[in-house]
Amino acid sequence: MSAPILQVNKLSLEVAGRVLCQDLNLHIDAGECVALLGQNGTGKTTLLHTLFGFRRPAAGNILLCAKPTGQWSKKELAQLMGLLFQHMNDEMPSTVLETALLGRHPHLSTWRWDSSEDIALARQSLAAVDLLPFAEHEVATLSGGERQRLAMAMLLVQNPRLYLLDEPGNHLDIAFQIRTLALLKQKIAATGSALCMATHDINMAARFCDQVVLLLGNGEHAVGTADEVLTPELLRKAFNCDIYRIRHEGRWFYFPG
Amino acid sequence: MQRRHFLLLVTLLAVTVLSIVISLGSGSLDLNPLTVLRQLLGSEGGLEQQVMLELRLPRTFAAFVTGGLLALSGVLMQVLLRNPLADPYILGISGGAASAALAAMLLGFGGAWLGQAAFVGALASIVIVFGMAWSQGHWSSTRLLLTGVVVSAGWGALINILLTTSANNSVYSMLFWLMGDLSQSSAGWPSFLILTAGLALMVRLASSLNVLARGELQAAALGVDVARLKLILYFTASVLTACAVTIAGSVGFVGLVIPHMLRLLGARDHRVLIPAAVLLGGSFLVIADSFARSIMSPLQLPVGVVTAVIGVPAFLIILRRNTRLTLEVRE
Repeated sequence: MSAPILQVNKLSLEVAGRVLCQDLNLHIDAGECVALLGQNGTGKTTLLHTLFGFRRPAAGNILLCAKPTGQWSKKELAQLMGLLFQHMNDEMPSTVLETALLGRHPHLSTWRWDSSEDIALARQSLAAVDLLPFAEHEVATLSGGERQRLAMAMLLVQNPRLYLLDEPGNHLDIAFQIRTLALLKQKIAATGSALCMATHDINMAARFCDQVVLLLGNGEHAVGTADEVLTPELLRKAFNCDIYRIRHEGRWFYFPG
Repeated sequence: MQRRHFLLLVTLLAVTVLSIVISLGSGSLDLNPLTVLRQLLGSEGGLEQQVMLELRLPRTFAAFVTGGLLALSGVLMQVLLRNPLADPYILGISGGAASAALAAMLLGFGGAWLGQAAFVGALASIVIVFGMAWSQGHWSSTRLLLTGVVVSAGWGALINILLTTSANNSVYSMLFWLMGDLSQSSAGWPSFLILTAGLALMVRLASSLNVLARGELQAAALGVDVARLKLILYFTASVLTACAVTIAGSVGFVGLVIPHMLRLLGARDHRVLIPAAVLLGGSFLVIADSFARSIMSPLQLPVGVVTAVIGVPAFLIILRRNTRLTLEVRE
């Protein structure tokens, strides 16, 4: 059996003296989808950024492809992990295709022009999120949802082993939310990669994810399959709000009380 | 490299050669381009050749190097601060240089001493801004920008104090220095070497700059060592600017306008933008200096005035085009 893509052991996170998460153990295998759920400020983004190596955990360790993240170089980390941010900046002008091509950066040597394969890959990724007709447009002319799809295309160009997504449904209409996640799910199954996403959408998590990490605040958390973790009791504890579920065509659907 | 990028660089090389020929021909002794070329290729000697090679060539060289340094520094500052309004002077380097140069003039120094004083003043400002903006191994672009702007304002006050307390005759040369002037200057090989080294280093880092332009977190997520890259950018841009002000005082607008002109011409990829900025910045200043010494000949204008006269309308047009760009709604 091959090593898991990501293994998190007894991880603790603190921000400004506030404990966000304590003794978290998590194991992500190839082909798996994991959801991070929790109230605002419980540390979903912090956890993703810690997994990527932007910040140090207060305790515990993270193994990426069987090696501690600190032992990979920055470039290697970016080849293995791709991060989708909540917002996409566009302070300097750029076209859609130029932006998508930036995803190749971790794979290129310092002084090299994008090859025709790189451009073909970028165009293919833009096509996958329906942005190919806008390839030569300015990023500044895109809508919020189109920018989110562009960020997704950049991530597809980067082609990492582990996709870390921070609210991938941001700005997307419901059809595109389903389509992009289905696309990623297909991609990770085909390439043996994995996905971990922070989200507020319990239904999306239940539909797409094999494992759920529910952050309860004060460092507590629940980890397990969607059916184990997404229960009305735990959800009420996590969100301070009544959440009910009904079963329809063999799946649970969640709604607030 | 894309075809249009290649064409742009070739065109800019041609523009550079043209600007040099024009510059060698203009001044109180007017020479047409054909005479200039004949003089350059042949060895006819005489007054014309002497004027060209001994007076105009060093000055043209100084103008080209200064323009190249400023435009390159402008590109780097704009990426470092991710602010399209950034220019080589925004972090107070020219203020530090000017304060030191003016103080040297006040103390009766002249000639090469002014350049050295300016260089020392620029370095002092670089260190002060860096020291204030850097805290615990970390700095944000906003913090850096604020520190630079505030330090710059401090230098401005000092410059005003020096101007108001100086004797009338020295104020005149101080004003020339402040406006940016090439009539006293010659650029030695060191500044040319610094320009070449800066260009080579930045062309190597150009693809990382493309990523940094999308934001620091995004760049870090794509494997760029952001803290290291920002340090390299800050110090390279600062040294380039310090060299430029040492040669010619604070020539305005080149560092702000040239990068924007090139971006509008489609050179947004830093692998093209960086060499293109050096060529266009250099030839722009060479042309501006030709105007400066021939428009009111035999009177010479400070070149900084000419760059501003060309630069202000150019920049306003660019700003207009930019608002149109961002307000464009796709249907």
